[in-house]
Amino acid sequence: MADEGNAMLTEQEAAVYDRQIRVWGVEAQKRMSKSNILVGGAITGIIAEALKNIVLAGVGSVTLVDDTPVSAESIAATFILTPDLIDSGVSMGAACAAALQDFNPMVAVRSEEGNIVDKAPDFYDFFSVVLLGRAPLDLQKKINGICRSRGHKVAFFSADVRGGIGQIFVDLQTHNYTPFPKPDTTPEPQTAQYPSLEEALSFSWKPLLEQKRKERTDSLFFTMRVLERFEQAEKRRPGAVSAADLPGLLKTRDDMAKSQDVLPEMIPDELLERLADAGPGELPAVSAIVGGILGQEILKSVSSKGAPVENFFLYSLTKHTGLIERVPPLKKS
Amino acid sequence: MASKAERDAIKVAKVLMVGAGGIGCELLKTLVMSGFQDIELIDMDTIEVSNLNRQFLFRKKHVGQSKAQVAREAVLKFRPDAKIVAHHANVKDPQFDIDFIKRFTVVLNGLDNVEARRHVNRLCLAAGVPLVESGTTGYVGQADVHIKGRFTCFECYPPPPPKSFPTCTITNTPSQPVHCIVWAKELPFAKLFGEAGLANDLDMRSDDQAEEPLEEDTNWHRVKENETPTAYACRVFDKVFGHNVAKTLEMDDLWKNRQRPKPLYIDEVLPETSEPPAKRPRTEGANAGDEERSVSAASNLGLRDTNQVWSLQENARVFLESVRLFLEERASEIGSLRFDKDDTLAVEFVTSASNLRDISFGIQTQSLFAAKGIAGNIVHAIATTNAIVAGMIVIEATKIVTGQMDKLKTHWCEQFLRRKMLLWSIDPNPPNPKCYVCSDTPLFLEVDTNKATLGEVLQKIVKKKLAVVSPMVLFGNSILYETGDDLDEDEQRSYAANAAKVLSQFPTPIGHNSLVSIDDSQQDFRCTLHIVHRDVFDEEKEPDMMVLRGEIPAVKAGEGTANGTEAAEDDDDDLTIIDNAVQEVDAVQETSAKAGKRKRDEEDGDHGSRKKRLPEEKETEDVDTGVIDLL
Repeated sequence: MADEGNAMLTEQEAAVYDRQIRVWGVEAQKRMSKSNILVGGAITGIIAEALKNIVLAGVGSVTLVDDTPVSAESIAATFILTPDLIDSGVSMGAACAAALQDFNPMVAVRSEEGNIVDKAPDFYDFFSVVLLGRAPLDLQKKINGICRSRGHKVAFFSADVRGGIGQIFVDLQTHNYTPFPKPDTTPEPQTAQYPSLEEALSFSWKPLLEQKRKERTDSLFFTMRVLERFEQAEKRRPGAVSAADLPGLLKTRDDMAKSQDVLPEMIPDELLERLADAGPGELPAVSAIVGGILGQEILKSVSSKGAPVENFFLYSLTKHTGLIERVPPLKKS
Repeated sequence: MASKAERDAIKVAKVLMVGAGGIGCELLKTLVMSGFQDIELIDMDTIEVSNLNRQFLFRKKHVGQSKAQVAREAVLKFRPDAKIVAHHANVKDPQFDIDFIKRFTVVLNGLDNVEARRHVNRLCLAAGVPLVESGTTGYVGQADVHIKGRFTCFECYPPPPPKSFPTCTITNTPSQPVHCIVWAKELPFAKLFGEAGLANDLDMRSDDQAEEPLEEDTNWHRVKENETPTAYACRVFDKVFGHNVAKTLEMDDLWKNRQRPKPLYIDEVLPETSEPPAKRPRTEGANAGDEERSVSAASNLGLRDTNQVWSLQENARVFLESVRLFLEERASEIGSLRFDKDDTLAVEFVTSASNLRDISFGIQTQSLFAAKGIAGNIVHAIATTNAIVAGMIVIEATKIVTGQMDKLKTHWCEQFLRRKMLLWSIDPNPPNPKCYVCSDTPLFLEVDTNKATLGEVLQKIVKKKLAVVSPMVLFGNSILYETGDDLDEDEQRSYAANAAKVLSQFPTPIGHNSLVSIDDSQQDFRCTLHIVHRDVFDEEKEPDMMVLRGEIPAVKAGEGTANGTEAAEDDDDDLTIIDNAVQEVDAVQETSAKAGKRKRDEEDGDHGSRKKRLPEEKETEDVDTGVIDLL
C-alpha cells in the first residue's frame, strides 16, 4: 500500500486518460486502474453502454459471465457486436469481451464460462464490483447477499431498462469518498452507509409516501416493485411481459397497495401500461442515458471520488427526469 | 413504443450531424441504434490520442485520420444497412450552404467552438431547419432545441466575453498562476518563437526610453553571432526573469500595497551549470514529424512525471533546455510558431517560464499537467456525460422527425443533485424578441470615425464579434466591401483600398448616425450598424478602440483587454458550462439554457417554494449571476 501513491501512470495512460484526469484527478485514475469488475446477468443495451464507459475510462479488469448465445435480438440491443456473430454459437460473454478488449488494450477484459447462478461465493473474492444485468429479483438479492458476505467490500449494482424506463440499484455497503468540490469550497471526506436490496425492498411504503412533497418517493419506484413482483409470482423471465399482462399487473398493484395500506392510484395505470407494452425492449437513447449514469457510478465507487447515488436511480422518458431515491430514507441529523 | 408511422418517419429522416468528436461518436451510435438510417456528418478534425478515452469509435491505429470517415466506417461495421455520408471538412466551407442545409429534416450539433455553432445557427435559421444543440464539460451537460420563430436561437442570449486580464496585471503585477501562464504564452513564447519582428511588452525596457529604443532593446530575442544556444538561453533568462523584473521594481507606485517581486538571474539559480546536458541519441526509425513533436526538455532532464511540481532549479533547467531544443532541433519553425497545447516542447517552455515568474512574484507554481490545462484551455471531458447528452439529443431529434413539436424539451445533466434530480428538463424558451440574429434588432457601433478604418471594423467587429464569415458591406447605394472567389482584380484592388480607408474619408463619409449594412449571403445573415461617433476610448478597457452595443447588452464578465482573450478552441466535445475562470468557452448556449433555469425557478416560486432552494442549486447558478440579472 505504501508504494501505491507513488506509482506513476505510464506515459500511454497519461496521454489517453488526460482529459478525464482533469475531471477526477490522478489518484482517482490510479484507484480505478486497480479495480476488478464482474458482470453477470444478461448483457442488455444498458449493460453494454455501461461496459463501454468503464472500459474506456480504464478500470483494471472486467470479467463477463453470460453464456447465452448471441442472437439477432442481442445484436439489435447492443452496439458492440457485429451482425456476423448472430447464431454463430458464440456466447454473449465471449463476444462482448472480445469487442470490449478492442476498445482499450490497457484493461484486461475476459469472459468466464458458465452462469452466474452457479458461481461459488469465493468466486467473488477477486472482485471490487459486481454488476448484475437483467436478472430475476431472487437472484439479485442472492448475489447482493454474497457481495456482503465477503471479507472485503464488494460493491453491488443491478440495472435494467424497459422501454423508456430505467432503474439502477446500488449497494456500496460502507463507502468512504471525497465529494467533488463546489465552487470555492474544500470538500470533506464523507461516509455513506447502504442497506442491502433485501432491506431496501422490505421497507414499508406508507412512510415513503408520507414524506414532505419534495421528498416523497416517486411513483416510478413503486411501479418497478409491482413489475418485479408480477414477474416473480408468474415465474416469468425478467422482461417476458406484454400488453396482454396489463390486467395482471393492475391486480398485482392493487394487492400490493392494499397490503401496504396505501392508495392504488399512487401508481398510475399508465406507467404499468407502458411497462407492459415495452416487454423486454429497451429504447437505445434511454439505455445510453441510464448506462451513462451506471458507468459513472461504478467509476465513482472504485475511485472513491464524487458523491455516489444512494441507492436507487430511476429514469423516465416521459418525464425526462433521472432522479435518486434513498430507500429507506436517511434519518435527518 | 413507437408506432409504425413513427418508425417510418425515423427511417426516412435525413439527419445532419456537425461534429464527430466526444458527443458525435456517441450520437452517431445512438442514432443508428434508434433506427435512423440516413445520416451525413461533417467534421474537420483528425483523431488524437487524448480522444481515445471517450471517442469510442476510434482506436490508436486511427490517430491522424479523419474523425468523420473513421466514425462512419466504425458504425457501418455493426449497422451495415445504415446510409452514412462523411465529410472531412469545415462546416464553414461554402459547399455547406443554405440549400445544403435545406435537404435535412434536422441538424444535430456536437461542436467544440462557438464560432462554428453561431455559423450553423444562422444556416439553420435561414434554411428553416430545426437545430438540436449540445454541450458537455466534465459531469455537466445539456441538449437544447432551436426552431426559428418557436424557440430561442443559439444566439438569443449572448455569452459573457472570454475572460481577459488587464495588460498591466500580465506585464507587471501578476497575482495568480494564470497570469503568468498567459504572460509566458503571449510574451516570451511569442517573442522568441512566434511571428518575427512583432514588438511586444518585453521590449522597451532600456534605461533610455526617450526617443528611439536601443538596438539591443528590440533585438534581444535574436541569437547573436557566435552565441551558443545555451548562452543565448541564459541571456534570455536574465533578461526576462532578471532585468525586466528589476526594472518593474523601479515603479514604486506598483509595490505600495503589493509584495515586491524578486528578480532571478541564472548565475544565482544555477551557479554550476553553463554547459548543456548531454544530448540524447535520436530514436531510430521514428519519422521526422513524430520526432519533431517528441523532442522534450523534461524527458531529456529525466522529469517524466507530468504531475510533479518542479523546483526552482528544475524549472530553470527545463527553460534553458527547451530554448536550446527549439534552436537546435526546430530552428526552421522559429518565427512562425503558435502556441499549441499538443506541442510538448512549447508546453514545457510555457510551464517553466510561468513557474519561474510565479517564483519571482511569490505565486504557487504548477505541474506541467496543470499548466498545460490552463495554457491550452483544455475542456474536461468524460465518456459518460457525452453518452448521456447524446441520448438526450436523440430523444429530441426523434420528436422533431415524428412531428411531436409540442413535446420538445431542453435537457440538463448535473454534477450535483438538483433536489433529487441528476437529469432534468424544461420546455424550451421562446425566442428573444431583441435578438439581432433571429429578430431585426438594431446594433450600434461606437467608433472614432476619424481614425478607424473600414478594415478595422471588419476585423474587430464584423468577423470577431458578429461571427460573419464572408461579409459584404453596403453603405447607401454602394458596396464598400465584398469577399469571394469570383471577384475580378479591379474589384479586389478597390475593396482592399476601401478596407484601408478611414471611415470619414469615404466619398460619402461614414459618420455619426450613418447606417452601414452588413450582409453574409453564405449565412443569409444581415444586420445594420448604427454608427455612433466617439472620440475617446479607454485603451485598457476598450482595446479595440470601438464598442459594439446591441439591444441585448453582453454580459460583463471580464472587462478589459488585450492579453489572453482567445476562447478555448480545444477539444472535441464542447462545452457550455464553465468551471474555471479561464475556460470561458462556448458559453452562448449556457446563457439561453440558464434563462431556462431561471424560468423554472420562477415557476417553482409560484408554488411558494423558491425560498427553500437547496444550497447546491444556488451554487450551480453562481457561474453566471451576471447573465441572470440581465435577462
